[in-house]
Amino acid sequence: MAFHIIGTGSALPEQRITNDDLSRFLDTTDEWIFSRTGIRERRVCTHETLDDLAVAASERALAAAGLAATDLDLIVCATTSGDHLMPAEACAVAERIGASCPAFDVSAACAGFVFALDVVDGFLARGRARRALIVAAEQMSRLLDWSDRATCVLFGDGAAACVVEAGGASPLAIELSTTPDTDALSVPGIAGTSPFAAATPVPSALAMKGQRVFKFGVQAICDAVHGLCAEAGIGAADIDHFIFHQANDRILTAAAQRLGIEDDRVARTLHATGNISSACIPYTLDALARGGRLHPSELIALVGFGAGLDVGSCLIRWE
Amino acid sequence: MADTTFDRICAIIRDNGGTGAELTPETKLADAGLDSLATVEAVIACEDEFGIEIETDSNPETVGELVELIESLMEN
Repeated sequence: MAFHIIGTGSALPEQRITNDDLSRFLDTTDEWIFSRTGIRERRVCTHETLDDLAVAASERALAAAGLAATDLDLIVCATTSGDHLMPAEACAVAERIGASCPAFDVSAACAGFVFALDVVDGFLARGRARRALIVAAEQMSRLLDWSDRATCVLFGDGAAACVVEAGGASPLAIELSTTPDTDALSVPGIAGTSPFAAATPVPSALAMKGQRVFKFGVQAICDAVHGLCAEAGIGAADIDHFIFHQANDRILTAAAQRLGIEDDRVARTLHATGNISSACIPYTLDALARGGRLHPSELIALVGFGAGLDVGSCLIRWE
Repeated sequence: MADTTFDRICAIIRDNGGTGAELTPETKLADAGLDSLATVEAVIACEDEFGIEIETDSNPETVGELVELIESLMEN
């Protein structure tokens, strides 16, 4: 059993925050941020909830697929920054779009979308679902230390979704991996108020070892593309679009150079969104699809990497 | 004449945003124009150039330390 993607959708908060906006309360500049990251602006939730974004992205993906929520057999949400620890973000989406199928979340940080795709592929293969919604939604703005100029400039909020249906040519190859390292990139969990807790609570603010993550990212992309090509029996030159996790433009450039692929085949959306974690890959897929950039039978390599350190890669055919 | 490891590393530093100023083994990477991000990019380029793998936590401070690190990895 295989799948194909029959609809995509995305949603960003209204509020744009430019690099100049950040320079009003951080010791930084637009030139400094752009030259080191490729990011010009990001969207940040103000009045919107993450549920709002996840629902809007899901409804757009369903509309593109020509399906109703009641047609879905499964909803999987990739997130690490949901509006609630429980129920799952996917349950909130199910409630608001009017679905009654099983719904749960997958936590694999920036690799979450590809991990969710593999989970869904398993449900389709076992005949437990025929149509599934995958939505990746992240409100990174609530996980950031807004006084840390090294990290808070990198991220943004947003959601993106796709509807997959059983049958089709995808995945041509798919692989998940974890190189255990909980120190490189992390957000401490909820501190709580237990009177029995011995440890001093730490705030839930993102911390990152930038050099380590940068180098890991480049290596992860290159290894993943080589792995996908080997599994599918093709060369990188046969792949039409590369959608890599949008962490830093210079990671994308370094990986493209190392892979020997033309830079313009590597999709880029982060200049306008920053890193929206698990939502980066489906957001970029939706941007390409709606921009008329994807054509039937084209091959697309998806590579997500992030905290864990998790890497998820998948080679799909656009149908 | 084959370039020395030092020459090849100097070329990589220049290609990755380093200053055009003359480099010596004592030149600090920061003074060579490499910030933390450019240092990682130079390290990645060195890996490709010399066919080795360099741990991110190695943190060479000077051009000479980077040369020593790479030559020690090439011997293994």
